[in-house]
Amino acid sequence: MLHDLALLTPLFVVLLAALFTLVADPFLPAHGTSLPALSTSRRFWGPFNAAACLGALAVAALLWKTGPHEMRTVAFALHISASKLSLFFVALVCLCGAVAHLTSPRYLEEQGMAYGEYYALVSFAVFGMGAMVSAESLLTMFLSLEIMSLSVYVLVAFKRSSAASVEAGMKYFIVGSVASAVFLYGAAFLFGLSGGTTFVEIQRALQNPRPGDDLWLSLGVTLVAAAFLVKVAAVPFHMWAPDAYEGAPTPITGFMSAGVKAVAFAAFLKVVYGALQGPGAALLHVPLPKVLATTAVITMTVGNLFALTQLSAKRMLAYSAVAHAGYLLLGMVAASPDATLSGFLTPGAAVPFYLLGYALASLAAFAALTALGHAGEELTGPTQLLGLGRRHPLAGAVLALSMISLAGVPPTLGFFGKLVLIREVLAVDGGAYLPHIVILVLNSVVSAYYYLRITVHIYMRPEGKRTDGKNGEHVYIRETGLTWAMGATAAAILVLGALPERAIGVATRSAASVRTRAATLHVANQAQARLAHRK
Amino acid sequence: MTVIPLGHFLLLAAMLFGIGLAGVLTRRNVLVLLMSIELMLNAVNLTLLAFARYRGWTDGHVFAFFVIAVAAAEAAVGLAMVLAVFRLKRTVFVDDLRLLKR
Repeated sequence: MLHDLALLTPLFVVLLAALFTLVADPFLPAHGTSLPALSTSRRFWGPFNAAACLGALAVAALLWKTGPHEMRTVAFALHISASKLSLFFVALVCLCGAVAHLTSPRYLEEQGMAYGEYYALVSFAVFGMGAMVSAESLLTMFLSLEIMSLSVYVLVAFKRSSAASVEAGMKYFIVGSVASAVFLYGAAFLFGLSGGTTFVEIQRALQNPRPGDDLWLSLGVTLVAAAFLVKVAAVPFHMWAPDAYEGAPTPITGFMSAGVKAVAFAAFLKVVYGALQGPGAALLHVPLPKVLATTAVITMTVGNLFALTQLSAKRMLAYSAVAHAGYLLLGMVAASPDATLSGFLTPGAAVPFYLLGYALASLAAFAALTALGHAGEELTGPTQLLGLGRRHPLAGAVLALSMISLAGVPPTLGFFGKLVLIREVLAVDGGAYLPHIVILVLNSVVSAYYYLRITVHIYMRPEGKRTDGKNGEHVYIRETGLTWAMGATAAAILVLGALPERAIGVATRSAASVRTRAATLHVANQAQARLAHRK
Repeated sequence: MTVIPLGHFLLLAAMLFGIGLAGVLTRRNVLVLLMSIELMLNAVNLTLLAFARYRGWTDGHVFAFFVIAVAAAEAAVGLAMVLAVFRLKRTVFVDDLRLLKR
């Protein structure tokens, strides 16, 4: 029991911070101005919760280094685990949470919504995300999915005085709830197949299938996969994403586009491929890799085409998030345990590594956009970005760097993410996905146009007129936490871009933990077949 | 006495789920949407319980309890959001929520 609890320490650190914030906040006096929404007395909750998230990240790193053997990382009757894959994504979501906490305090004051619950909700969402990527059963996954989603719905609609924010929250809530229900319906069929909710039980049931099990499996996997496609905003389930991303407070948009997306992909990886390892895939009537690859191609194309036409940087990044979901879905094809990767050194690293690069770039971009918010306005339109490089050099540089990384230009992490992904998908089934890769590369070229357009706006155009400051001067949020968040994410993009081997190695080891069991089964089966052949 | 076979329960649940999904896709009143989502969740409960009852697995009952609890939490958040929308826009129809469509 104690061993089980110790494995989940990173999650408890964040949970305790959230509970403390929630309980202690009402006792804080609303000094400063009379309106609590404008008061500065809640400012320190940001650094406090960010410290908790970073602490959790450090504990996760410690568990990675010194934790028990991979076989002993499963806790609480096989319902949750601290495997390398879990720890990698726990660390990633803790980073997203820390950035969201650091960038928020002054922004919330500018927007007139400086309430303490905000920080508690972000920490609760981080806890839910961490539990979701650690889940080893459908029940745990459902509960943590809801802990995350309910917190994020409220955060999207957090600016109660803004019709756009509330509308975005409402839309996200409806689509998200339907996705949860669809996920549950799929989980119910997988339960009907195995009599249990853990992935191990599902795998065990698939070893000796009964008649009719193939139907439950196909239905269950299809529904669960559909729910995850909604959560990652894949076409045709992407319509909620631009609205939710645009209406949400900017730090939350960054948190969602980096964290929620990473979590959805990690959980997708665990359910679909964790539960299907071994004989499961043969029973499935749906050609899952082909469906994923086709969805991926459509998603990236639609996302990029819509992103081209957007003027607001925030909405453009929302469509670019859809496009990146497409790239990642193609990476999922290579993560399948049944995919044969010919002579490839880092199997399965594509999705975790790409998500790391995407999350850092996305966090940096939205941190920079947060600095533009002023007096209840978002100010992320094209005219407001003109000459940003001169007026707020740090925000301009960070935004430009993140655009370059998202476009996948060489010295950055985004380039290596795409490189690893393309190499890995090309190795699947002897190049069966070459046409998809060609479309991916063409899409990257198209996306470079709208990413670099922002960079041009920042550095190479004469300054536009901003109408926000009292005398026409430019007002930005300047805050230590925000500066640190921008600097740290930008530095990570550059440093990891210059030395990507270590990060790729970490991603490979994390992916290995979802593939290990499958590989063992595969090797055992092959050896058995060879023996039978000799006899 | 004849026992109703498992398939009947699953079919009923599938129909309820379908009605709920159709409600979400076609109706425009947010409150009706929330009710449709509840219908979908209850269809899931029925599926879980049918499997649990017919095969003698207890995990399904536990799962259904969790679903009920989470559905209540979800309804609370959903209704709070309806209230927030109604305060600002005096409407509960999703067609009137098009500030963000461009």
